[in-house]
Amino acid sequence: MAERNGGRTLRAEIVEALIHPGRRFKRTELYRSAVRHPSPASPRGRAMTSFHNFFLHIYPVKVPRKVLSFRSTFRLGFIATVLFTILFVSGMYLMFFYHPAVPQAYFDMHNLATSVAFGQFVRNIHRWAAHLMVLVVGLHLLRVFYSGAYKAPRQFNWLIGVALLVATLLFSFTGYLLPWDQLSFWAVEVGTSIAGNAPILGSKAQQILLGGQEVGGNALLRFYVLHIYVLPATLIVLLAVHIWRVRKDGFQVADREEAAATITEPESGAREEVSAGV
Amino acid sequence: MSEREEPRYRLLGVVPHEIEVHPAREPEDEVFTWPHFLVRHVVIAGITVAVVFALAIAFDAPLKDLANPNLTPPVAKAPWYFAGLQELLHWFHPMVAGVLVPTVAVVFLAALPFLDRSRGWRVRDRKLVVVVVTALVVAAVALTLIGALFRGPEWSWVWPWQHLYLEL
Repeated sequence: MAERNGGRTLRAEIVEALIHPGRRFKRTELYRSAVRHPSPASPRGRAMTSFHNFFLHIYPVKVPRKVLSFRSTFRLGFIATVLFTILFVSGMYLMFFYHPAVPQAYFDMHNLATSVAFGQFVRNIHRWAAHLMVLVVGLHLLRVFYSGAYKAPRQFNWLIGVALLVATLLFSFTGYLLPWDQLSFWAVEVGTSIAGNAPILGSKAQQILLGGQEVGGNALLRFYVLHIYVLPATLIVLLAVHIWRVRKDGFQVADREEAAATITEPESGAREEVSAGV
Repeated sequence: MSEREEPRYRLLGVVPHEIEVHPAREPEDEVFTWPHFLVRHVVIAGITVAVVFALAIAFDAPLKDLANPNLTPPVAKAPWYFAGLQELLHWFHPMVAGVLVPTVAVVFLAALPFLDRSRGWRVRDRKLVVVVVTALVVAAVALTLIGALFRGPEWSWVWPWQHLYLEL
């Protein structure tokens, strides 16, 4: 039997190709050019995995052990990001079958349900993920507030977080109109009539928002463009900065530990004196 | 003595006597992101996807009749997260409930870290801000629940067990 590369026999190669195709693939030039870090079996390999992987770059190489506990953050920010990813992908599919026009938009909803493969299912996914995202982003805000994670040096990231919350609400609200049924029409009618009361601009604000005097074809087109172009671009940039800042500032859980261990004897002594004086 | 051999001194800095002492973090306080943190994220992502899929299989997204500007439905509700605002609109002038309150709320939220001058992250270190924000959150949640669950035709009070006028 002919000797092949690495002293393996042809038979051994065939057996490996059948039983361990992955192992075989990992030796190819294609794989080794794409994945350049060593196997993450050793500490060095694990660090190298982080250094050499673009997608792992949003994580630090090491995290405080405290962060591994679910209750440290309840993973709410991460869940919101996952929901956004689900919305991004399912929304892309829905866009293939949607016309932002009156009344075609409404008929497209029926087409999704009756003649598009997984159309209704993907629409359901998009809808429930959207509601959940509003909920989870709200809970994330509360978690960050109650654990005091908005304090220095994280003030600006809290500000970006508030912008992300507003973007999420606008996302959900603009998306609400798109099916163009009685539910979406009147919900948006109620919502945008408020804009008519804006100071100085008055009904101008409403007209800018709707592209006319009332909720009609222009409003649908405007909400569609906001929903599928302006808001995703805005949210992705804000989210990137938000996550980057978390990475730079470190996890707040670790700070709490440190603050608890920090020795500030003279200060606490002074505070006692003041309270004694009172 | 030549110029070169003269001793030269440099003032490096004056440090106050009391400085914060940060104990060095023990090496075992940190773990590798890959795999310890990442595997948790993968599990959470999987659960999130599973929950969304389960909801999507169990409940269809609503679809009513074609939008008709001339036919006002008996109940015209904003999406649930704006139901609190709609409830406020029932009580106050639209200028107040629709513009002033949401604007002030967002500006207050954004400015919160700069307004809160308390020191320390614990709740007991910042009682004032926690009490104020908790009161506002409770009010917002109560208004949202009332608007979303307890309101019916013409914004009348309807108990949720009588009829639930809530569309998601």
